[in-house]
Amino acid sequence: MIIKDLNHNSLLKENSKLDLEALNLGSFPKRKEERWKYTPLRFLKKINFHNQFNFKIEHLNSLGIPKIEGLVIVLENGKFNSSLSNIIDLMDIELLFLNDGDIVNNSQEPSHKDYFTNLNFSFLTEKVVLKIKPNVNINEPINFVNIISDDNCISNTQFNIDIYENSKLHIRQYFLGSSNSKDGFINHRNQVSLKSQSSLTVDKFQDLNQNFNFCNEFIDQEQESKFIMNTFSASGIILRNDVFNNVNGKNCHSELNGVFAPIEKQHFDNHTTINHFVADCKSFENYKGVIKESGVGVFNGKVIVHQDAQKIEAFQKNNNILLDDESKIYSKPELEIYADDVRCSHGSTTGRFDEEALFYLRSRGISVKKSLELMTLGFINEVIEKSNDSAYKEFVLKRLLKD
Amino acid sequence: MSYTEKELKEELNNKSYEFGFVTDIESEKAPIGLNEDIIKLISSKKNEPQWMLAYRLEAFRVWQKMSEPNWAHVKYTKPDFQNISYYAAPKKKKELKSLDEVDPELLRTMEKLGISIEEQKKLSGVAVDFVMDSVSVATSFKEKLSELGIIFCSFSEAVNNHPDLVKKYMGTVVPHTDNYYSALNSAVFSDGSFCYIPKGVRCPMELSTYFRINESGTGQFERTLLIADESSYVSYLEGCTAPQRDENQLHAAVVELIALDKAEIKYSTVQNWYPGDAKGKGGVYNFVTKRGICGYRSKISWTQVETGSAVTWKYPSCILKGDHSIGEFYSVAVTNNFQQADTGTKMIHIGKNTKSTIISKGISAGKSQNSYRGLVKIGKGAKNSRNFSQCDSLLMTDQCGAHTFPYIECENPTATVEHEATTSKIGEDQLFYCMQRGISEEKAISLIVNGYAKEVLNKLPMEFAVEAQKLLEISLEGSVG
Repeated sequence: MIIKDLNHNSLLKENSKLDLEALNLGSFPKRKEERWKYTPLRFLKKINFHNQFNFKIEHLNSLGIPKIEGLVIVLENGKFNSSLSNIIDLMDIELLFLNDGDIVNNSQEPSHKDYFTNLNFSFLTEKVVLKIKPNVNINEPINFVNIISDDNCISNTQFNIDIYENSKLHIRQYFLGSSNSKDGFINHRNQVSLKSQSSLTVDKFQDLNQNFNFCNEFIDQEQESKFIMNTFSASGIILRNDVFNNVNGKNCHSELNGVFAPIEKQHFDNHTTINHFVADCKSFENYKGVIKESGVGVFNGKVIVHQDAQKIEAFQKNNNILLDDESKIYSKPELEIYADDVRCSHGSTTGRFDEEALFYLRSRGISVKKSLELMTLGFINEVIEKSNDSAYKEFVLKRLLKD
Repeated sequence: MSYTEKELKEELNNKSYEFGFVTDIESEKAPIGLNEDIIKLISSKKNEPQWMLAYRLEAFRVWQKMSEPNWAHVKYTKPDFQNISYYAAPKKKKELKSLDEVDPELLRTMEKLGISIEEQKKLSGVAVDFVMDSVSVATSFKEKLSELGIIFCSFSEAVNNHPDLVKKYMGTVVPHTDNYYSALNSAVFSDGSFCYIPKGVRCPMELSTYFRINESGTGQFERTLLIADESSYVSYLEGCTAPQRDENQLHAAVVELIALDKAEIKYSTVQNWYPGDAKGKGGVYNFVTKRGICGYRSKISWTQVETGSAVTWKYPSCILKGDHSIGEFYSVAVTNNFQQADTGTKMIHIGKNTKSTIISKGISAGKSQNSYRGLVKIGKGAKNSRNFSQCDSLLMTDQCGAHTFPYIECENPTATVEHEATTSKIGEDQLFYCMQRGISEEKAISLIVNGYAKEVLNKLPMEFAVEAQKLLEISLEGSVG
């Protein structure tokens, strides 16, 4: 197993420069591979990474995020930063870090192995484990902030969330790149385990500026559990989200929503795989792309209904708006169905804003810029509305609209 | 269609594979295996000019460097390309001018297929270019067509008689470097059809070719080249039947359509190759490359009804190069037992104001796997282009699979691209409604399936529509879950 292979870590200490392609971690993904068809990894390959962990941020306010209250876990450049964090002792919650003993050894072998998973396990810099005891309803969201603030820094982090029977949790994840850093890389992995009748909502916000962020999400659901994830991708050179949602119990609800708004040659990749292993479940996907200024958006959703998983209701939706001549969208909603009594469908649309609607707004004295903004707002609101915190909503909207 | 329940029942009972007979005609076969000598042999047998041989050899060299693709959602034992005879021709005694000269055995085969040439000639107005094991032996209505300047002949004739046209257009839409099977086809293609419609001519009849794999162990490598010159129109039918065989037979065809400015091509296919038996043994491997290119204001329309073959790998595509050009794709794909199909289309929008429509209906039964794989690409310059895709899948049993893999690539903001897909089984309420009115379950299902596929079947020419409808019912024999 890779994790036990500590040679990599010692190698890193001696020679702190990392050449991604030279690492012996399995083959580096190529454009010829279906999953990596559109991701321009050449930008990532060019960079010589290091992982010396300096803390540079003095106060969270400097990152422009709204005031966060309650439990706050902050990782900076791949390490837990206790001075920025706010660890309050909450009953019913168990919180562990990499240094707290044996948790590395306890981690499961990854079910899906690829280059970046191997990289993450081999060069793990920090791991957070959060456990919620049974029958607990935590109303206040728990905040997880993962910052990159150093140039060329590589951060391999993991966040494990275990929610036991009949508990409920809301998590806000912020992946941030400070505005004066560049070419940093957060290679993150979320591992979620939902026991029966539990519920988890994740709001994920990505604002990396001139840095990279890859997130691998593994979600295992037991019966009658509910998982909702809202991904908001605002900036970053390459952002890539790979969601693997395994539904192993009956009557589950899975919901993946997202808004991605690449600008200035940024590349945002969204890959989702929902595996329906058992019957009577529902899954929904709704991704909205707003692409401008040579941005590139990718949506690749996959719903697999395995044999005997009858009475599945699955719906995938992807709507995209292209705002200028140089922007691109690649949409690939897939259905793979091996059971007959199912209702599965998907829809994908790509286009631009209605000229008449634009004219309507302009004829009422609203500037082109403001009109487009209003229309974008109307377009993405369906997803933004999933969040019920108005301050958070306002902040996310502001960053997505980039004003 | 007025045929009763009883008839259907009888037909379903007796129906394993209607066209499973082997015609006993002496045939000349090339030795098994593939190398440059074999290619030279094929070329010399067909009296081909030097440039054709050079083209074949070049394709062969390219092919040798390629590896077989495995991205399709199908599983099968890869054919052994060194264990196939690449050339089989019914022995030619002399040039044939009238039907009397044709081998009576062959005539009987045609009759069994329901395309008796005499009848066709007199009644239906369909010119049949009958291809049996790679070499055309009878071509009808040729004279009538030639009055209009239409060239409709076998590919090898065209190579000898119209080398300028063949040279100019062959490989322009599907180059020999395109993919593994098209490279193989370019190297060893045996024969096929060639059609040229001159400027401003509207072809008065539907051109049709019956392909037929006959000789056991012979891979068939057809090549079709269809050129519609400016402002012309042609409707082309392609139908397939193959005899029952246990070993897998390989079919790797290449079809190239060229629609010049303001021309229109309608290409319809009914594919009913041998699908293998109920246990999944045998059946034809169908790896086809079909592609058309559209000029200014031209239109290419593909309609296909796919019911046969053990493995299908087929993506009739349109390159919408000219401004205002239109591409259409209508498909019904039925899989039963252990059949596997990975089929769909590619619409590549290059010109301005181009339009494309994709309607794909998949029906899976038994333990089959049916996939739709389609690409819609809007290039940077394809301003105001428009695409609408709809792919529906119908599942008949709990052991089959229906999959959708659409690729939508949009690089122009003024384009509008829509895609929707649904997967479901036949609604119990629909079934109940029919049965409540005294329609048997089997008949009700065939009614519903026909209704489901109607959108596509309506696009077929009359000659095919009836046959296709019947084929659908028969293909789904006993598949009610």
